[in-house]
Amino acid sequence: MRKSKFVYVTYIRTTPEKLWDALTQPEFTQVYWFGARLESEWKTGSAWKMVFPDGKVTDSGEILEADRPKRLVIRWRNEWKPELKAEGDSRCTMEIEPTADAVKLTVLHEIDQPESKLIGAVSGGWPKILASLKSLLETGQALERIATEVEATVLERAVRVEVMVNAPVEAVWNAWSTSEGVQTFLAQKANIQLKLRGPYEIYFNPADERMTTQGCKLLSYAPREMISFEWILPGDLFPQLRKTPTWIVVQMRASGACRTAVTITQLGWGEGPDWDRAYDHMEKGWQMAAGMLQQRFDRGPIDWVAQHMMWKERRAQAAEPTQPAKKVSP
Amino acid sequence: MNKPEFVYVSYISTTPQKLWSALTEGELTRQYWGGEQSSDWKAGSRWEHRRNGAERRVAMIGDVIESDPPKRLVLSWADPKDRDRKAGYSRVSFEIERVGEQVRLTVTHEGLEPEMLRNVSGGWPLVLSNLKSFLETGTSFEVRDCRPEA
Repeated sequence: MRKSKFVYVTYIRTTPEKLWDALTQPEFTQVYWFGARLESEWKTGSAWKMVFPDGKVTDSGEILEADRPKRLVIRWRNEWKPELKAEGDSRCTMEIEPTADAVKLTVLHEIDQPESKLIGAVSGGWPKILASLKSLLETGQALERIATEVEATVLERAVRVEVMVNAPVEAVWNAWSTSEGVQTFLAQKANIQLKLRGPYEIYFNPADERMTTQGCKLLSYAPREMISFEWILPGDLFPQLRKTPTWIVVQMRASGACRTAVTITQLGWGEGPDWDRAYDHMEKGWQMAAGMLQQRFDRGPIDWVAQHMMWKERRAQAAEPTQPAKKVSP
Repeated sequence: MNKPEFVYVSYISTTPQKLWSALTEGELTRQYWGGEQSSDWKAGSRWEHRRNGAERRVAMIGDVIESDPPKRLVLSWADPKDRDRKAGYSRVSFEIERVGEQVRLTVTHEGLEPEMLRNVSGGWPLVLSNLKSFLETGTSFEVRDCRPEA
């Protein structure tokens, strides 16, 4: 079977022993590995896990070979993201070879499947982690935690939608921070008061309480820059999750006199299949909302009658268990 | 069929401008790349890499395809013996992006013949590790021969 592989070679001015220790001591890894502690006895057969400050175990496995300070092989499985976890065990080999003044570190991370999402995910992480490790060993200081770039597998999960809108930032601010404004693009009815802990309630279907964010509050704001508010998930689709508010952060930045870059982020996701479904639903939902925000400034306030028809169809699709597409003979 | 490519990403505590200078000024490349990169770095110009040492032999040559300091530099790349053989030319892109307090450097080397791919897969990590050490600590380690064929 075809494998997926990621290989990274770096040369670090240190000794093999120091490099080994930096790779295997949790006090060290915390500094350069995005706050993660890699915990193990580091002997062949020992259990191994990656633990974050909040206690979350994102990856786990077993030490397959440990030959300090030359070679470390880890059976490595993701525990955090369902589609990565489903791929099963990957294998990570770290080889340390001394050269004239520097130590050569080769990391090989592989799995017995083609186009592995797990290998795709770690391919982004390894260069950051190893760059930070190299800086730490050579300069005494790790790189700044590259928070905006880290994959969802490592840091907190967030829906993030970015959109460019043809309107000045004052108009976009108004659209997000007033009832009248929100009613032109997001929902037919809104109840918003621009003050801390004031209501920020959206009524997608005023007749059905489940399709509203009634009870939600405004959390924080900076005029013409950012607004943040609670968000409870739709009660018709995710009744069990409705008790746990997530939250939204909307950021806006002028891009010239008549355009504004808007970023919508949703955080506060829990774990489990219901949350995964909710995540997918809201990701699509915010992408649609971003489109509606653009439309509002390109063509005028949204026609809610037409929009409601479209939403009704989308809900019918979301509520049904997924049906395999019927094959049509050519 | 696409020829294989080699991609290397590194994160360096520096500024895009300093990184651009380190990649293009002979006085600086001499200190970590084992030789001088020289060119006026304008699109269409030639460039060459001249090894350190008494001989100052030209080890690599090419043309500047794109130059957008300090963000992007694209070069065609060949061994001097392949100067007139079109298939011997590969392409190297340097992308420099600010990421927080660091800079991310992405080097993409594409259009490589299999033997060249093997060589550069060994050469780039050495040169780029050295570049990072040079920018972050002011010194670099001894690189006996950082020609791709090493």
